[in-house]
Amino acid sequence: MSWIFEGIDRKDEERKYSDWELIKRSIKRIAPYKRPMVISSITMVVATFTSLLTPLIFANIIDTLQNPQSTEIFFWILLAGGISYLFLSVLSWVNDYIINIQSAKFVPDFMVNLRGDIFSALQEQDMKFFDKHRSGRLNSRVSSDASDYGVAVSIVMTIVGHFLVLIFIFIILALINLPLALISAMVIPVLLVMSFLFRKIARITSMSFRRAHASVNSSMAESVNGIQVSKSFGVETEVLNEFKEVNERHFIAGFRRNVSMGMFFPFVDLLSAIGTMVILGFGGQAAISGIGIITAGTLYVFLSYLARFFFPITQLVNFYAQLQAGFAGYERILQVIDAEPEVQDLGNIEIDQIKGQIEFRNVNFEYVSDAPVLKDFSLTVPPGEKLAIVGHTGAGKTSIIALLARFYEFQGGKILIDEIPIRNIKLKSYRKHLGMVLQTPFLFNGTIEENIAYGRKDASDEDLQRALKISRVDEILEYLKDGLQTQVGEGGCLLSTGQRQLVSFARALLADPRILILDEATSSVDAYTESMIQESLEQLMRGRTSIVIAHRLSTVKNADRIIVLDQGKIIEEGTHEGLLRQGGEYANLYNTYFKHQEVAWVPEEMPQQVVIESTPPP
Amino acid sequence: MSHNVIGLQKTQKSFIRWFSGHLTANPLVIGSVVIGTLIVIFSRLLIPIVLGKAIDMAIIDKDDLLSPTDQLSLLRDFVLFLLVLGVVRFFIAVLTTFANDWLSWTAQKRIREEFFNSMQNKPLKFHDSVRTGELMALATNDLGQVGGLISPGFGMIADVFISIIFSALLVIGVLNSPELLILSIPFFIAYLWAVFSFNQKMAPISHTFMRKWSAIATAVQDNITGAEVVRAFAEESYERQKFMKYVLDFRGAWYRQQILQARYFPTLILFAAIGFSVLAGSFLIMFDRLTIGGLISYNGLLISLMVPTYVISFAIQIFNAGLAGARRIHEMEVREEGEENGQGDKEFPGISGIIRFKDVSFKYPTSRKPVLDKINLAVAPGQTIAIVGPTGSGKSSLTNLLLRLYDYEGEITIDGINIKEYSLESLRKSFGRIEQDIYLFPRSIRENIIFGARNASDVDVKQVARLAQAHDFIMKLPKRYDTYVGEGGSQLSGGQRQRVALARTFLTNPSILIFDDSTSSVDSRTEEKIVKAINTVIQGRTTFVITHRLSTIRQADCVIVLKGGKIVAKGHHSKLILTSPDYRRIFGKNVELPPLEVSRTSITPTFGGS
Repeated sequence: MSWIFEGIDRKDEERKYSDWELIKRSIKRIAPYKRPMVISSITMVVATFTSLLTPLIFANIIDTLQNPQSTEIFFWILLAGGISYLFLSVLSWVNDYIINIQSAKFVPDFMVNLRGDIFSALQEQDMKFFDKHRSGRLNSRVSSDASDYGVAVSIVMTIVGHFLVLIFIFIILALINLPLALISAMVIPVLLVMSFLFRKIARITSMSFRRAHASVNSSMAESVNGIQVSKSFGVETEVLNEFKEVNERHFIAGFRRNVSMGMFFPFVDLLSAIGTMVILGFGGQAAISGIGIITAGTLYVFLSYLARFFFPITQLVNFYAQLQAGFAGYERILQVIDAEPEVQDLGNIEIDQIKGQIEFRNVNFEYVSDAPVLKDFSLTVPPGEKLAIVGHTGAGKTSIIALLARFYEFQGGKILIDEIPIRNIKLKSYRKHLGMVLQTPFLFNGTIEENIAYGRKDASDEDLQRALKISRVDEILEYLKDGLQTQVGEGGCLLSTGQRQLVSFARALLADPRILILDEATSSVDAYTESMIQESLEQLMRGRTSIVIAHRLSTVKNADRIIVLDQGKIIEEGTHEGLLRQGGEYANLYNTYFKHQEVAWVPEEMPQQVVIESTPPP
Repeated sequence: MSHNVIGLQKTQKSFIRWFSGHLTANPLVIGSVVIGTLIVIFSRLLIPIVLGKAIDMAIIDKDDLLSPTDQLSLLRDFVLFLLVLGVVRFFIAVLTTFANDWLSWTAQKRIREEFFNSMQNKPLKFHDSVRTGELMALATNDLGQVGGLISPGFGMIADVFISIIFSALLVIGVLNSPELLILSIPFFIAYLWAVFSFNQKMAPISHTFMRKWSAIATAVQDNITGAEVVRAFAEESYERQKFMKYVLDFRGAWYRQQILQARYFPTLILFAAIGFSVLAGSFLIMFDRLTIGGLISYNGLLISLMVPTYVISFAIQIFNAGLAGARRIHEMEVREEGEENGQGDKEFPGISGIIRFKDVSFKYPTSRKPVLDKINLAVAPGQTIAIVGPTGSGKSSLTNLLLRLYDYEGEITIDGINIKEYSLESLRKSFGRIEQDIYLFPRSIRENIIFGARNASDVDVKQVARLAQAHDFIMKLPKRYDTYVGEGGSQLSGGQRQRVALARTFLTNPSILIFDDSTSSVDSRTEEKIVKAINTVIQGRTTFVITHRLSTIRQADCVIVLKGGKIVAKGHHSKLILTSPDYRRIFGKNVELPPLEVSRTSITPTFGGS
């Protein structure tokens, strides 16, 4: 009945791999660990026998002691029994020890290899892959999916042991006394039903708890992120009252979940007490009345085996669900490992020095099939040119620079760098000549210095200082206590947007690329920082081939050439002045996007404001 | 040094007081949990005793005291007793679980509420230095661990020790076998030693384990969000190396933890004790110092210690994690800079006179030099002040101080009264502040607009939205004012967010306006609308504006140029354009500016750029 609940919190995913495929590949993964696996399997069998043998020996001692004799043989029998019991007891621990040591040799290494493979596969992927999976939280492939799979693999190994225990217990009990064995076995179905029932309840309460948990989290995040707003408005009391409600729901859900899970154990104990009682009643009666050959020892064997039913059965109940989760995780992992990146590093031309000439020759490109972004697109950028690209959203501006950066693969035509087809050049040697500053400047967790040196870790101190100066990062460092050693936080969150932008300029500059690709940030900063960014941008582009998606008026004005893009085609090109005179699409764009950035711009319909422009007061 | 130690002792003391206060908030429930736990454990230990007695008296009946019929009826009594014992234990266990979870979850609820309130009341200085994720983790994960400490942590740890004491009493009292007890003492001592030494070794290892694991998580997160940068710089192999270093490091920690787990000696000692008791017990029976049932009972008692012994290694981890979690929460709550600085009880009456900064200095904990260094400034009512300066020069700080979001040196007065004499709430309520990174709550547009004035009518909401030039675009959205704005307002464009924020501020009708203006670049039409909205809002209000809109700067009554924590230039645009090189810098090089009148400047500026 709990099968109904399977997959309630998991979305139905398309299965791409058959079970057989998953098993085959799992075996391949486990294969290198043959030695620890074999050793622990053997030990597991030994452990099973050890744990079954100890009550039998004890029973034997009990039965022997019922008629004590003062002979020497009796003494030796007792001594032998006692010593072998002691030996087996200690052996139980040794078995556990060996199994644990073997799993220490196996599990961490297995997981490291798995995670390393996933991570390496991620490094091979192009941006198309990341576009597709970004929302899917790729990092859970490395963390939770990998550990789900690890749990499933190790569970498969122990589950065999559990089955063995159950079967052997029953065989031994049946051999001793069949009716009593059957009575004892009755505990199994009851326990199974009970476990399934509890799983079902736990599932329901856990789900509502997870929801409550998530809402506490988001409520907390909301209030912390909006703390400036709350404080500015002075509404802390109202916000606290809202939180109290969320917190109350969380309390109820959490309490319910824990109670419903915690109740399982009293039930198991009750069942075990009833089992003990039944065996004592029936077995005792039989022993007293002499029906069958039941002795005090037999009774002891039954009672102690009964206790051994419980753990394996509860484990078996969880087994299926955990295996499911593990295989689902492995499937998601395989989708990453098996994904074929479109951009592949197949070229073998190493380029040491380039002039920086770029040519797009009849390039066709689409992100998804049948929706061409660039069609028969041609463009030549001579070395050292400053080219600005303008156009409405969706015109294909970003695609041009993404193709140039080899983030995506194009479908037709050619892209040539210094007349060499781009696909023939080794990716790493090509990208070393490329400097990119992206729209949302991303910094790695670490210091400012580490970030600036990211593309050239062996940069000399002089080069670093020069990069700092030209990019104006030196000016912002004045305001930071730890200077270059300032931690930027995750994704650079401890710096302001303007600061992050300047740091990413310095990073590109230090790498000293011949070709500079720039997706100008749309988010503006304050007037002064904006002017700093402009200044450093000009320095950055000097003497390099640069392609800029322009959002700033100053950039288009400074460009050697502007191309106006519309639906993947160049519809106009020229200089700012020239294009403005033409009165075509550029003039249109200028009025929409750039005009208000003019220093002298004044919004219309504002007669009440008197504008004083560069005129000294009388 | 000694100062530090005293400080540490002090926090330790305050932590203990705080934590034990939360733990003992409900003594009645605690009492019932303790009693319940004792009964449950005792009845669990009674089972092997009863079995042994039943075997001795009813089944073996060594000295043939009873007839088979009497034996059978005695057996029935024992069986019945077992049933009663089982049922009683069941009910008590259920009630105890209930009470224990109640204790744990009410404590979590209480602490979470206290924590939330405390975070709310921390000044912004505090919030700048902590990450949202960290606070979220404290409020959920860490607090969850505290809950785990209360239930089942405490019970699990107590189990072993209570069981041992009860067992010893039962061995003496019921089994009547001091020999067994004496023989067990060495094992008992070794056992306790093993438990303690294991946990001593485990604590640092599991700590490293967790730390190394989170290093991996961060590395992966960084690599995925920075995928474009990694590719742009062709640093995939470096990233792989870095990652492998982290995982291998983690593998080492994991391996050490596993090995230590394997060498779990308490169970070895218990196994040995069980084995030895059978050996010794047999001979005690032979010499009539013990009964068979007595040995079975003793064996059962020891075996029943097995599960709690396995569990205790976990339980101590749960316990330590809970304690560490509680400590982190408490530390966060009492963080030094955490005290919201003192406030007066005067109601802020609204502004009618001059705002004056007198020698105001301010420093972030992370800044090298003072962000604001002895600032003096006077602003007449109704004036618009534009503030310009490099990023990090203290523009936002200057305005934040007015709301007392941070503490500062010097004095700020409004109408001659020190703002510290007003109550924080009334002071802040009369300010309208539009922050740099506009934050909208993930709710509907309406709920966002009424954030500062929750009783506002729909008519009011629409009116302010019109004034903020937001009404038109809102009406074009599918659910109009009920449109959900997304996480942080992500469903709206930058220009739209800003206008919603304007409406939100406008609704509270503030007498002083602070405008940290930087929105995503927008098209000229939107820009026009925003400027229009700003101009409407600032009419008749004292306004501070940090902006990149040159049109706004030019219209300001006064521009102040901040650099290096000082006001390097101050005055109207028309004056500054002639006198301040720093001010001229923001107009870039594409504009023909009138010649600089060097002779007339009183401040010697450092002219950056060429």
